[in-house]
Amino acid sequence: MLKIENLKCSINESPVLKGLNLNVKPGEVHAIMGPNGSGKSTLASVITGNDNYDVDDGDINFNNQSILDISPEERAQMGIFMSFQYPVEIPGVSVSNFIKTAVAEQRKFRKEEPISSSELLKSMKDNLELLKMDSSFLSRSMNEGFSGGEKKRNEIFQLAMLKPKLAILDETDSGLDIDALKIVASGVNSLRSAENSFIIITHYQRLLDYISPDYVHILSDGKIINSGDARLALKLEKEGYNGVTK
Amino acid sequence: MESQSNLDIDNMENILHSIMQESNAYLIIKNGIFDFELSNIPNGVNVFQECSGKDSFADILANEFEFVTKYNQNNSLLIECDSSLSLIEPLYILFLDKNPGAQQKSYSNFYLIREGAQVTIIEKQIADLKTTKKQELNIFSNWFLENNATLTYYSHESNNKRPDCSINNNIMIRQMGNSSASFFWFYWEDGITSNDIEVSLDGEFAACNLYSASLLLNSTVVNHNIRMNHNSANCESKQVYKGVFNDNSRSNFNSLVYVNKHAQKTSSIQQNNNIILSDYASVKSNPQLEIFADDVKCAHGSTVGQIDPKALFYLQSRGIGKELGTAMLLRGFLSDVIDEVVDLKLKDLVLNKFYKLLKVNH
Repeated sequence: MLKIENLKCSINESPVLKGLNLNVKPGEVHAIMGPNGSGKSTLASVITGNDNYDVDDGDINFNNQSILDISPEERAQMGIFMSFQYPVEIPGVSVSNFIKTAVAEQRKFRKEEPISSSELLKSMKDNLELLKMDSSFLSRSMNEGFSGGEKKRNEIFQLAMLKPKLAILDETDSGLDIDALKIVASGVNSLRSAENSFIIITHYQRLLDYISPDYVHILSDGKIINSGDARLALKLEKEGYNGVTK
Repeated sequence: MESQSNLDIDNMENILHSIMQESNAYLIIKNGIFDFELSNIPNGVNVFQECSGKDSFADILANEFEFVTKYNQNNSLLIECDSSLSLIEPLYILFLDKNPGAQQKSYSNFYLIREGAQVTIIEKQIADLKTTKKQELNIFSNWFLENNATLTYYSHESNNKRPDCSINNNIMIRQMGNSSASFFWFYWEDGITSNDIEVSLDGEFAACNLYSASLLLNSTVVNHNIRMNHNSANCESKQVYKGVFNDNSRSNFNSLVYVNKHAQKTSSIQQNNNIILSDYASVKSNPQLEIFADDVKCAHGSTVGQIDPKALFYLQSRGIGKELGTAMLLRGFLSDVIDEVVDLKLKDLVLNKFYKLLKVNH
């Protein structure tokens, strides 16, 4: 699904990722953990195609195709999705209009039949239900006046509607209380399948209690310094980053 | 039913015919002269025109419109809405202009909304200005709303303006107690437009809302000079002016809200927001307040900025390309004005025009 080879990235000439390697196969959940400044969000941004970052070396392959020269919207249409750490507010653009347009654009790209309004509405209502969101969300402007928890649930709602092949959750658990966390986690779990994959970027073990990863990677100073299974996260929790640095 | 003067421009014909077919209330003014035969005047609406002594409304000019300082006597037009008028559908007022000879023209229009009348007016300037020489239009529009009158007014331009065509709108609005008026102006054509608007809230509990949305390309200029006078207590006013500017387009927004010392419990909002899409567009925004009463709520804000790149990236990350994403963001930006439009046909027309200018299908 996703193969990252020796990725080196910088922002404003300042290096952030310094030779990162990652291999994610279909059906897998990978957790990436690391201290502040290690490059976690940079990794998410670069996979998504944020051009504030420069790729200085290495490659990112999605389904055996390099995506470095592919625009962010095309990457999304190919099936890459990111749940933002800080979702931006978009006044005047309603949640329903946003989803409708995103779904239509992606179906157009994949040369699928456009979805009917009633089918889309049903799908939206089902997914709102999954995330315990009231249907009044649909008519609100995207993220405007949303609490932190509502913003994160809105991200997972979009994930549920767009059904990507690869979903990157960038610190989705930050700012969430335990109840919101459980709702988000159960939403993600119900979307997991053998055909899609998740990269979960997080500081804390907490989310991984609910979404159990197949692999855990420790990111430090722009490189993955340790990889293991779910127990590595528990070790990190107990011993801190010093304990998991090889 | 067809008039004798030659309406042989496709655009004019189409617009005219579609309105005449779908509507039961329309006033047609051709080259400045009101066409009684072609128009469909609903009950409760009276039209007068100063034209060589016929249908003179000199007494109304002297009384109700004594506040008007500038107008052109020749061919002045008065549209009066009786107290009995309660029109559900909009009243279309169409100004058709096909006059290749004249280069400078001046029109004076008076609108009298009588006590308790309720009306929605949609005004269109349908001018064939592309085939004529450079034109200068001076339009004097004078509105008087009696007590409890309710008015919603929409205006947008035709599709045939030359870049050097200049239009000067001089608008005076006087409102008495408990009257309510909302004005909407849309700008998207070429040319140089200057709007001078003066509103006087002269009766208590009057409300006046001015809405404007502009999407300007090329070297279009639209300037607004507004003076909102709160002369009575308990009145509300709102100005929502939103502009999107591309290429070399320009705009000056000058607005003064004056609150008289007797105008306690005034509530006024002055909002001017602008987005610039190119390096050469320019906007100046100058909101001012002169407040002489002490129990008032007056808010003002003006912004000039660009499209939020984070918002655009967010849309891209969901598979929405830059052009469509930009159009969505701009539609959201203008929603403060567009979503206040109650007439659905007009709202559709505005949105269609808007998306066409941004070159996206919607």
